[in-house]
Amino acid sequence: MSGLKRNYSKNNYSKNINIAKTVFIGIPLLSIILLIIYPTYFFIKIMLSRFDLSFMREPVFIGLTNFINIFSDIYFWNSVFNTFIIVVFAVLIEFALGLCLALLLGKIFFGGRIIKSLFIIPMMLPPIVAGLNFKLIFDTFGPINEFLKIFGIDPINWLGNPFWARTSVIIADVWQWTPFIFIILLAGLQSIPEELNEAAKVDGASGFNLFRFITWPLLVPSATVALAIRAIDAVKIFDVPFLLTAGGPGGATEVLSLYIYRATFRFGTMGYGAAMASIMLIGLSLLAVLIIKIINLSNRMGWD
Amino acid sequence: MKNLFYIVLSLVLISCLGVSSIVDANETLNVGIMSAHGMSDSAQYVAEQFNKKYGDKIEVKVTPIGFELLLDKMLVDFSTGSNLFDVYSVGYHWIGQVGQYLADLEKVKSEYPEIVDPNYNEEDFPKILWETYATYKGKQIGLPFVDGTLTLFYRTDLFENPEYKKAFKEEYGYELKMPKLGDDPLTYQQLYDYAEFFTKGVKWSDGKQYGIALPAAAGDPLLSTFCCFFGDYRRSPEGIKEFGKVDPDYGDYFTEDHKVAFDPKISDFGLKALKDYLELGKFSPSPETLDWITTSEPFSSGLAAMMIGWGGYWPSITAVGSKVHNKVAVSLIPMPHLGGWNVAINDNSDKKKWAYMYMQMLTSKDMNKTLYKEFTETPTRISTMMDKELQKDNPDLWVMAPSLKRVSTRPKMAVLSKLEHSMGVILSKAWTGGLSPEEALQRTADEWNRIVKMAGY
Amino acid sequence: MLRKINAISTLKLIVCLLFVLFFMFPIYWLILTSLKLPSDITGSPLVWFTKNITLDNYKLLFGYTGELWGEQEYVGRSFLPIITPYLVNSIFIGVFSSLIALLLGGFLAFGVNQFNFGGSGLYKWLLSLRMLPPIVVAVPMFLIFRSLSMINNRWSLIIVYLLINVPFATLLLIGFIKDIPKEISEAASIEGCNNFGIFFKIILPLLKPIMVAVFIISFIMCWNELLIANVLTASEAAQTFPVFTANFAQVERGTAWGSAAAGGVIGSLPILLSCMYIQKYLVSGLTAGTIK
Repeated sequence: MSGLKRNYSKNNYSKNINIAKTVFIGIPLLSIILLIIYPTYFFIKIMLSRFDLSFMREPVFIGLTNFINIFSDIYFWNSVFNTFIIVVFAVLIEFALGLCLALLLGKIFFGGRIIKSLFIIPMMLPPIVAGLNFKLIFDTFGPINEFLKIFGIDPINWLGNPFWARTSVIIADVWQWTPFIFIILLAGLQSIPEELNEAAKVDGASGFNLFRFITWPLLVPSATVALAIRAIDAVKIFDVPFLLTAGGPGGATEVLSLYIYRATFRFGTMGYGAAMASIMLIGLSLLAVLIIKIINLSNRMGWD
Repeated sequence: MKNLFYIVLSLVLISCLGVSSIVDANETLNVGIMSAHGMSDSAQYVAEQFNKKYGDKIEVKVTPIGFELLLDKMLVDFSTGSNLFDVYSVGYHWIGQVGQYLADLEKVKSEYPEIVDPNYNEEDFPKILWETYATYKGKQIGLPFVDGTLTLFYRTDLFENPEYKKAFKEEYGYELKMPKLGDDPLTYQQLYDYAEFFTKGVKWSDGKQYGIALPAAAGDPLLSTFCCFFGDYRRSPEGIKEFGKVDPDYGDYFTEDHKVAFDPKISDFGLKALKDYLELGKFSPSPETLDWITTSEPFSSGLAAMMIGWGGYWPSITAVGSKVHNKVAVSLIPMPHLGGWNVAINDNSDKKKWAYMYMQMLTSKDMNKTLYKEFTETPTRISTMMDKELQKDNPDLWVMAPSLKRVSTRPKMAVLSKLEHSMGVILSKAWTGGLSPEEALQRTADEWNRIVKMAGY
Repeated sequence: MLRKINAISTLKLIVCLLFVLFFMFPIYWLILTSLKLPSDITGSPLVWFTKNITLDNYKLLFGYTGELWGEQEYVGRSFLPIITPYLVNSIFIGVFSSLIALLLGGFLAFGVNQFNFGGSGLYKWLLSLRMLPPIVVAVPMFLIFRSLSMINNRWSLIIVYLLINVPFATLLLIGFIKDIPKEISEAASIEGCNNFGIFFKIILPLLKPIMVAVFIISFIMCWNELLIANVLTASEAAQTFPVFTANFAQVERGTAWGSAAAGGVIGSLPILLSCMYIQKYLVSGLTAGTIK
């Protein structure tokens, strides 16, 4: 073990610090940057080009034409609309359910470990397996329709009706990601000191008031982080619509990632796909900035 | 601690050298084949035979690729010149998108005359298959590998039931009969009546029952099945008069001068076909959900009296475990639609000689018969289709040759994927109620015109 | 506590159980389908539970060519390619990418903490990498590795996955490293330990359980990834489990749902086996250090 060398003169010391800095900080950062440089360059190059794989082998510069075409592309707006609907509903439902669950389970200590372990399975399951799974479940002759029969409801055409197809994607997403929100909120809940609750109860607060004035304000930081991360991830959704409905029926579940994938690989119009992807990136960044602003706003409004 | 770190690092680097994929230590011919319909099985079998013969010089390796991912993989491979695979199975309608990247087989043959099999017998392929699968813009770019035509499957126990026959005759005034070898195909009216009869006319099932399982899912199923209905008008004498002849590179959906033929502004045949399709779909479990696989499910579990699907599904539908095992036969729909695959050589390949030899073996006369027998690989050769022995053993074989006599085809255009996509998005709204049939059809036609124009056709 | 059992408590319990049912049912269904006979899968009425389980669906995935489902005859040969190479690839790629990411992430987290480097700018940059949709990197990465002749090579995936794993590992570890009291590392450097020594002999042992968790979570992220794996690979020499599923989940020969479900179960094994261990670190893991 070489840790006991004692040859640190002043010069040696700063030299050693620099070596250490380079290794510890430099190598990882460099590796990430290296991985990003070429993709960034390539991406910018082809989003300003026409690169139609069926017709040409090299990209041809066309400036902003791709972006102009995007605005009149009905499938693009269709996918934006679909993504918006799915994200908004899915994330809202996930948040509501996650909150319920966290409040319910917040005080259950025995079996808590087991329940938490079980609940993380949906999130970490390969999304493609989840898609496959729900394809089985939402089958017209599958378990959900059988279950609904008990209540006298006619079988729903989950994968063939546009409305229900979107619903099934939302349900699949809710199933997968509610645990995410649940676990974060649970951690946030458990970090609220018990004394605060006790003190409030002594003062006569209970039930809903307790929640509104004590629990919720202290939960806001966790809640915003959970929402932010979830919203941004949700916009990128791909695997589930891909396997569950392949973007159908009639494009009702063709989300942005899926349409970009198709434009890039299926139609072969790579430049156009890259242009759309850049718009998606801009959208995501705006979303992130928006959420950060909301966090700051809520902080400033004294929700602490 | 530091030493341990270095040991681990060196282990990592060594294993890096050891296990990274080895490129062409021994010459390998990479073949990428669609993973279904017994196609990759057949390719694998032939690869083994090939390797037995030539294994000392080259090894053929077959990789199955799923349908959804195959075209994407091909495009990336071809356009980046990567030569991931030397040989691909190419769906014929994709030929428009990848045609420029496929090797000219005439050139290969003239460069290596010694490999050309004198007994190959090109005439053994039905002309339509040769024209559709093997040629593009005047070049020979592939060899016909797997045939596929949309066929009608039906329940023999229902259609040959004397009680039902009597009831049908009473209600509709003609015999309940399915065309067999030598008969004319069904007419659309017959198809409609049969479907209606077995949905509402007679109770033959304890649970739900449908006359027909009709695919209409967005994408390939919609494009192909609608072509059955439209193609019927397109290739009728009136259709030919109205639209001109069918250009093999453009298929039934386009007129001779390359306009969208089902456009309501040009003619009302398109709308008629769509209405036929929608009417028939009333007797089917929601057609807009049925793609190729999910069409065979209701039929195999006994819920539908008929179904329209690829002939290649015969083995799975009639498998021993299926509920309709032994109760199925095939027949001719009014206008079948042609699917199918060829095998083609990647123009970037440096092993075109071996590739051609492999493909030749794969599609040779004897191999066609063998592959059909072993893997129920739908044959592309007349000799196989008309083989009396095989026809006796395989009740689904007889319909293949007659189906090719009058068949509709898809566009072999570079924008085919976009056309398919837009039809899937717009036209399927006619089923889901989002648009009226007229509107859906008009908008689809307009979209198609726009896409075609933008591509510079 | 027993005094608290009343109507509300029981209601809470019932709602809890309903939730558990909701989340666990699909898993149950997947496992059940993978063990069903094909006639049970597509039959009606629906089979909710069966004693006739078969392992043939799993056997098929591993290349079994004998009798199936007790029937003499079966159509065609094994139409599913053997899943083993795909699993091997997934394991190989997951292990190596996670290990390397752990090392690099550990280095960076330590460096940031030790030398007070970066601050919130670096933090935000690492977080923003999370926003990248995979499709943006898929094609350029394909071109890069093609020019290096590394397409269909496991190492190309290992390297690309670093882009996801290193920021993740870094952010997570920073949070935990910050908690290690400065006195410990100060004492060590007084003893003559240089920075490498501090890292390997002090920090690493202290962070062991967290590093294991980071490793597992990174492994699972590599295991689940589909898009880039599909683009950068062409055959079973390097293709991973999700690509296998995407390719063959729609096996056309007779809707092999049983085998597809079996494949799904196998693919879920990493998380099923490790869920109890990682749930402890999950909050930090999921938020990658934004909360602890």
